[in-house]
Amino acid sequence: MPSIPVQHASWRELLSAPPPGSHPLQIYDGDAFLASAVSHFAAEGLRKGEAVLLNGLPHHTDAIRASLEAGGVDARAALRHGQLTIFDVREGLGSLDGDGTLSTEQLHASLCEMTRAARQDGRFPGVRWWGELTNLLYQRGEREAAFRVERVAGEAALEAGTTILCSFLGDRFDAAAYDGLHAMCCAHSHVIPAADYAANRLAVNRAIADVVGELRGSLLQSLSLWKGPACDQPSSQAILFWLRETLPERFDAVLARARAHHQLGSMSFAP
Amino acid sequence: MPHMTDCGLPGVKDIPYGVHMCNFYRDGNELAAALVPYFAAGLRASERCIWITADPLPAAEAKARLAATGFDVEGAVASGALVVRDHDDWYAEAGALKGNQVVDLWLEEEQRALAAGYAGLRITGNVTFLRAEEWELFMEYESLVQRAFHGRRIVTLCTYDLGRCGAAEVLDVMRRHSCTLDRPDHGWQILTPA
Repeated sequence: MPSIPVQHASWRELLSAPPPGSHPLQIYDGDAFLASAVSHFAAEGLRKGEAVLLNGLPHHTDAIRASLEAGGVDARAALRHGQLTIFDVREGLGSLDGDGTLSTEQLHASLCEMTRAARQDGRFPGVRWWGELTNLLYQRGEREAAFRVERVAGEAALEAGTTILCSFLGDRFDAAAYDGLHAMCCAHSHVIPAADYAANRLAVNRAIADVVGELRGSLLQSLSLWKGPACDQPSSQAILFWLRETLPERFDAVLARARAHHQLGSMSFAP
Repeated sequence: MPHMTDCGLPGVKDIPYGVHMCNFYRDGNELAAALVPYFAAGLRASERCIWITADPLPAAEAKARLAATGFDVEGAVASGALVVRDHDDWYAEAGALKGNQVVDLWLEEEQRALAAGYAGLRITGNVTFLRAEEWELFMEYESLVQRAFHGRRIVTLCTYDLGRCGAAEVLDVMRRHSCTLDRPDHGWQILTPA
């Protein structure tokens, strides 16, 4: 019998209690979703007495901090007590060698050391990281370095028993983005593809029904045999990866329809 | 006791006890085409058969379709070998239970069937009653079933109305079952994960 993939029902549920050693990926298409998800992740950690490290661009960490405070978290006190630490991700680029290649050993050692330090001799039972170093590298076109960072981060998360949440700017309805999205998903334990899972599912379902029709016969057989990324991701995202491999000639059309349905859905929910 | 049993569907070989299968159908005829031979094989194999029905194949019609194949349906019901109940009746008793309690109920049913001398338990559930907001919870139940029935003398076929399942729901269901029964043209095939 096959093993049953555990699937998270919502990103809020996942980010409230991520499994120790997990390495979730948030695909975001706007700063509001980034701030909302990361502040939820951080707030839940702070409430549980865990240490939280945020490593992002200043305008992102400012928005996350504002969202934390709007949610009733005393971020200033957490910073003062050493429970919350905020870094400027651009400083992390110093761990790149002079020739632009990444010193993976140095980064690994640095992540593990910072996690140990964050625990403060057991004062904080757990550590949560959020970072967008990979995002920054990828957006700058340094894709190989970005994936190397992810590998190291995943290993460090497992080794230190911490959770590392990454945010990645990507358009899930753009076929051209899918090489990167697929590789990013493969490098993570969980994938959060959208802010609204139900609306995303509806848009994807409708698009596939419009362009492909029913999944029966050879399509059902292909889906049954398909081995997608091993990460925990909603079926509405996994089915797009399957479609990209199985019906590449219709993939663009499905994504275009999904985008249209999604936009239409958003408009109909607007006040 | 043998570890394999007849699935009943033409073209599908024997299936192992503990298997948790799914099928997607378009209408009542397609549903009956899967479930009537499935239960006929169960009765032939001396298994206790429990058929929880729902639209588009309610209990009375399910019995009539099975009887049309030549089975003494009333006799099987009277002896306890066959139970055919509409989902609404069954739900009145089991609907308040949590997923793991429903699984326990099935496992107890298996033990009762074995104690009564049956070769195993054969069950089905059609889930047209599910509302969209209940989907995630029901998928959790399917995951529990997949884990709990493995290695037991239970054969399960869960049927889903394709008209109510989008592509993502189809994948949700397939991920939580041992295999999928499909009839793309004239013959049945069993689709197993890689």
